[in-house]
Amino acid sequence: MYNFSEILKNQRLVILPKDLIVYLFESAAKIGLPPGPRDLMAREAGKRYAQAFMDSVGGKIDLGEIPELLEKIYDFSGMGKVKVSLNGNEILLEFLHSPLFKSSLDPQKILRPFLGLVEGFLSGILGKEVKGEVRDKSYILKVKG
Amino acid sequence: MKGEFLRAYTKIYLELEGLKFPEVLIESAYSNLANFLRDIPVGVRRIITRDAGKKSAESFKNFLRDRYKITEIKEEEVPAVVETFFKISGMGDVKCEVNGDKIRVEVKDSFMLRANPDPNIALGQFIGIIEGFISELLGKEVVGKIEGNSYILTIKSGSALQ
Repeated sequence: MYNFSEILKNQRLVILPKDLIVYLFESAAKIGLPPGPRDLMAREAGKRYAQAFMDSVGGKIDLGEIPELLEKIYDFSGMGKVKVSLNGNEILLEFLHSPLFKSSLDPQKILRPFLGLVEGFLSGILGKEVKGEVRDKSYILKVKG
Repeated sequence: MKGEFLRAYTKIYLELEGLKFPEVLIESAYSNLANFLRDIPVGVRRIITRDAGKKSAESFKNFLRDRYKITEIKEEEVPAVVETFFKISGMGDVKCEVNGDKIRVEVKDSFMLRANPDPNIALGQFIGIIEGFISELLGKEVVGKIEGNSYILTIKSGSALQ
């Protein structure tokens, strides 16, 4: 068992105002930036973070530890309170609340640009491809293989 | 004296209203974005980012007004806010100076500079945000350009924001 809270606290951080993040992604969504390259960039950033995270963990993280890890990351970052559960190879990440919902866009639209980050991060952590979709205020992520 | 208070208030604002991201994640996302967006017209990028910068400053001004009864920020106080924002946010180390209608923000160290060897591309993604933020902060339209590792922002005369 890892002390994820401790690992998160020891990272180098960038702190950005909530409103800046919300409106930046809202404007980008409204202007219709193509989702393909956006997802690719987000996935790559997520994988890069997973690599750095694994370096600081110095071990392996199992699927069973993912709910606790994701809940702690969202809580720590301020991106919201999430409830994460497993159903076989499926990860259900449900947003209980999030500053992103301040956006004038509906939850599904404002959550969508961040999906690639989560997919990339989980793929990097688990060493298996993870692909997801947004459903209402949740991400449904499938671990392949 | 107000400048020193503004530094403290800016720090408190970020602590209370900031979202925390791992630097490696932001650096990677920014770098990918800088290289992807370089083919997208500057005007389009500015539409996205200027508005977000303005909204962010609006929220900061509300915080200053509600909590510290500060209702106005003057040109000479901009450096205290900008330098603290960059430093505390982890965006980097900048030196900000005001000279007449010009505000120079020199980026001394930042992950943004590592995104691309060309400062126009490396710093270009953030120019709309900084323009929008300072415009809203001062209540006057501000337009910027990049010179070397610096943002040069010009306060347009007679351009009070509505």
